[in-house]
Amino acid sequence: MIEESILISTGVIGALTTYVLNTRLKLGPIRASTIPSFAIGLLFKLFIMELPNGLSNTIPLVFFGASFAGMTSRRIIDSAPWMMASGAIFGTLFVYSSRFFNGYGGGLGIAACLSIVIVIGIRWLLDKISKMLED
Amino acid sequence: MLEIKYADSKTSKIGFIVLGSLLVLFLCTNIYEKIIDTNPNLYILALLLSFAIFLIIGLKKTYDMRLNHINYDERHNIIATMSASITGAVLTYALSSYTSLGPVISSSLVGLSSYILCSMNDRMKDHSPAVYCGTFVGMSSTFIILHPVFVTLGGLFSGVLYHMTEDAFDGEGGKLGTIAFGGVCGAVTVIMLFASIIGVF
Repeated sequence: MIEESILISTGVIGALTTYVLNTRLKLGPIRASTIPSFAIGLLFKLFIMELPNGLSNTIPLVFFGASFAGMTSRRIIDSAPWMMASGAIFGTLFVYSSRFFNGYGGGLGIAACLSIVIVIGIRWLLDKISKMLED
Repeated sequence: MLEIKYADSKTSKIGFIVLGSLLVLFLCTNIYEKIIDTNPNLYILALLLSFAIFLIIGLKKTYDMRLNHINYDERHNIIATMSASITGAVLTYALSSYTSLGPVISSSLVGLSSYILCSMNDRMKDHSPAVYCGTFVGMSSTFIILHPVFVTLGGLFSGVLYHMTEDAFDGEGGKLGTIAFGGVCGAVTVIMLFASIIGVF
């Protein structure tokens, strides 16, 4: 449970960090994703090598994958809380991922894309419900 | 509120179908695995099924947002996208598999380097996303990509998919990874066909 919580929180942080760097500091999506991911990867490779259950390898992977969700433009997701939700959904998808596609490149990215599309779906439903309640 | 751009082009529909199918395949495979598990966790299954419902709704909204590239020449040249994607894939696979850097550092290093190098040249500056897409192919494990030549194949398929899907899922994070995933699936299919022909399976 603790391990799952750490990974889902990492997803939130990864998505939010990239989103802020991309949309608020205007670094652009590629720099916003690669710079913090490179830094986190290096940090864990050089200094944080002995965490239990392979977390030293898994945390940078989750951060990196969540950073892809954070590359979303403001036209699609225009608020930080929704981006954090997307990061949490990504973390959840990572924790409960399929074994069939284990080792496939792009697996992190497709999970990130899923998290964004799911958030789009959730927002549409909530908009619909709030309009129904107003009427 | 989401901005909606209505599109009529066949190419944007094809791009949407390709990417949407990959997303559905990925999630449905996960759900199926959880169903056939010997001790299925019903809470996780319910969560994934709810994700599936929101995925369908989200795909409908994404369909409404696809761009309309009226002029086909506005797309990046397919040879350029294939070359960029192959370059990213091969460099990342080499760094990830033959050094101790690992996939995250390798992919982010190649992605950042390509961004810096491409922005120095006007003709190259729009190609760094295709290189970054290729890096995700290069992150594949060696037990999936049985020989380095298949990384090139994965990069090639990703480059083609990148070209085909330019006006779909625009601005949505994870699109490059989804394209790379499709490229790897294509390469794995070729590997399995090749292996069955030479009698490994």
